[in-house]
Amino acid sequence: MIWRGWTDFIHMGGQGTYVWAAVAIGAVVMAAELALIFLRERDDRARGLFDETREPR
Amino acid sequence: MPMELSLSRDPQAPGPSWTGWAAPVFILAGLYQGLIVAAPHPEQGDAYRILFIGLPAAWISAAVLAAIIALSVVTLVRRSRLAALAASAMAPTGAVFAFIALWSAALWSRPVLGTWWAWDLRPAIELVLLALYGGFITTKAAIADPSRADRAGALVALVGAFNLAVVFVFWRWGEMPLLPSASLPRLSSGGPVFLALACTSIGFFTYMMFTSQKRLRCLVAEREALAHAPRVLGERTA
Repeated sequence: MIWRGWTDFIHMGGQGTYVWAAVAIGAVVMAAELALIFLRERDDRARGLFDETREPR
Repeated sequence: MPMELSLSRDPQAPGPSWTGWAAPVFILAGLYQGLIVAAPHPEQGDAYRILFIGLPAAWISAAVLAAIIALSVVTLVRRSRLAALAASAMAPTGAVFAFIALWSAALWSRPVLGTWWAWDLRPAIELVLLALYGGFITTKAAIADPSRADRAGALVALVGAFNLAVVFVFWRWGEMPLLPSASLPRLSSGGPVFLALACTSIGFFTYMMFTSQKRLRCLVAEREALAHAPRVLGERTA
């Protein structure tokens, strides 16, 4: 691809909406999954589930 | 006799932590190659760049299903709890990539074919894959007894073996009747198209490894807590 500046890059020959929508959907879905994982991990840590020294009850 | 869970409960314990930084590096390198370096397609223009996201996502979603099928066989034959938990840890990421592949197919189809959805085998199979992931996750979540949930989930996943066989058979056939045969330009090894697909695929794969590892550690800890104190910590089943 010959670089013709940011405007052409974002415009993508008139098909930028579709290309960037695909990029955005991928990024948002993956970020949401990561956020859910980290929230779950934080929740489990708050419950003491990762405490290796915890005695089984 | 069920196999013992041997994974450390500490999420900071040594593991494939390199996947945490490798995934974004490879994904960004793939996007750089696909969105900037690769030349526009002679017929599809720039819309074909969507395939640099959609194709690797479809490949990883199929690969995750293959792994879940193998883990399900181990679950049923060896009665391995760790295999069942590993399948549970991978399934949401497989669903995420099936979702991304479906949306990418729609966004590519609209400017190229003039429709959001073409009843072609590849997107149709991806839709079935997404439904299969949904069935696997909800089946395991709906059954309170963990060992019964593991076996039921494994049976649901094995139904996906047929789906995966269809994916491979039709991919080997290569050309679909509706979609343009030249979906990608010349795929020369080392070229920007090859590098874009390779980097994005490796990035998605390492992302899958990262999320699966993180989720598996949570599942193991929750399952152990459930086994030790079901009345106190039993509100979430692993």
